[in-house]
Amino acid sequence: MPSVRELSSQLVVNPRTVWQAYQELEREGVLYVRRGQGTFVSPDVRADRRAVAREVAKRALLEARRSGLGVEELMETIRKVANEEVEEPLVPAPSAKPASSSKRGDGK
Amino acid sequence: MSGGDAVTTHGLCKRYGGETALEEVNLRVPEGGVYVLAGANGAGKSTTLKVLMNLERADAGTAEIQGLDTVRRGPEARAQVGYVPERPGHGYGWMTCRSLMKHVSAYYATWDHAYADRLSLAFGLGLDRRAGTLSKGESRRLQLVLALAHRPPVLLLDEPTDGLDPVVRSRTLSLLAEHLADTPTTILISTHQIHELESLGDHVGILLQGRLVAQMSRDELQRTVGRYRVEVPSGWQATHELHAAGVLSSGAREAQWTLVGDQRELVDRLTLAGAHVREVESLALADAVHAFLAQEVTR
Repeated sequence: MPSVRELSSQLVVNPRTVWQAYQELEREGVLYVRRGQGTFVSPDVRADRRAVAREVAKRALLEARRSGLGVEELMETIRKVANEEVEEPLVPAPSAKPASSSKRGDGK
Repeated sequence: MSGGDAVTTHGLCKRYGGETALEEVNLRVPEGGVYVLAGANGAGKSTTLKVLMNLERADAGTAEIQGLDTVRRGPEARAQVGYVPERPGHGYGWMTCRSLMKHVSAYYATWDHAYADRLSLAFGLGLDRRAGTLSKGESRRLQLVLALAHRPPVLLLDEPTDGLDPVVRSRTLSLLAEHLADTPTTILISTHQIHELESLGDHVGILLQGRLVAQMSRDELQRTVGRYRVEVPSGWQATHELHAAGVLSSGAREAQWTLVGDQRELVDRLTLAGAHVREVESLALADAVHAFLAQEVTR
């Protein structure tokens, strides 16, 4: 991650705000600080993403079964719908930018 | 950082002939804050900063910078300040930028020569040019270097991006953010370009005809001014009060208002008037300030 100084200069955001965002993301385990080296994105975040994806899949399957839909039918439809919504994808790209992750932190 | 105030004024009044420039202004700029002083032309922004610099004498009231009275302990107070005045012109037009910088640096024990060089480079300032021959924008850049290079605890900036082209404008703001990250600084900044300080400012004061009609933190402002989206029954008529507050847009079943006041109270009032509040949106800094001014003017 860029330093607080760099990011606040780049975005013209009060360094205090950037610092707070970094603190919050660190508390949430998204970022970690290595002394003298800087701030990094936790590798756990990827694991977290997988966990979230599993939960979403479980919920979708449950809904599908309740509505009498098969797994294949559901998957096929998800792909189809996703393709139709290329312009506004439902799922963000896996390499989320720092700006978007800090926004998520602010929202809490 | 302590929780005190770096700049305060108490009942500041100033008259020019029959014109009131400042009326009972009680400014409170918290230490480490970036305080945006907003207001129309002639609202008293520059006068406030001039009084703080003791360039103008107040008719009544006092002012303090870092706890130092700006009149009785003026020189000590001003030693704590980097000031960018409203207009260029510093009586040393015959000096080159380089010699002017050397001259000014002698007054400040904290002058950082390396930083001054770095800033001059970033601003593209020709150091061999005579100060008097600089354009408006170039003078502004020189003033910014002179104000920042001694890393003062307090910066008083009067329209610091005025007269700068868009590229230099954004570079100036980046340098200010960087400066804040490097040096603990309190900034009082007057501006018409409020949007430029959207994410840099954390406090705001609004001057209207010499009166400080609002002064609050950014968070508080966010809570006080909102855009209310409401659903209304067909044929519904807004109350007189709501009309006065200004309809932003109004369809057959939906209306939007930008309103100033306690959110819960406003929702209650709208509900009582028969509207169903769907959403309350917070506003950008500039929009919130404008809403405040509009509301004060109709009052």
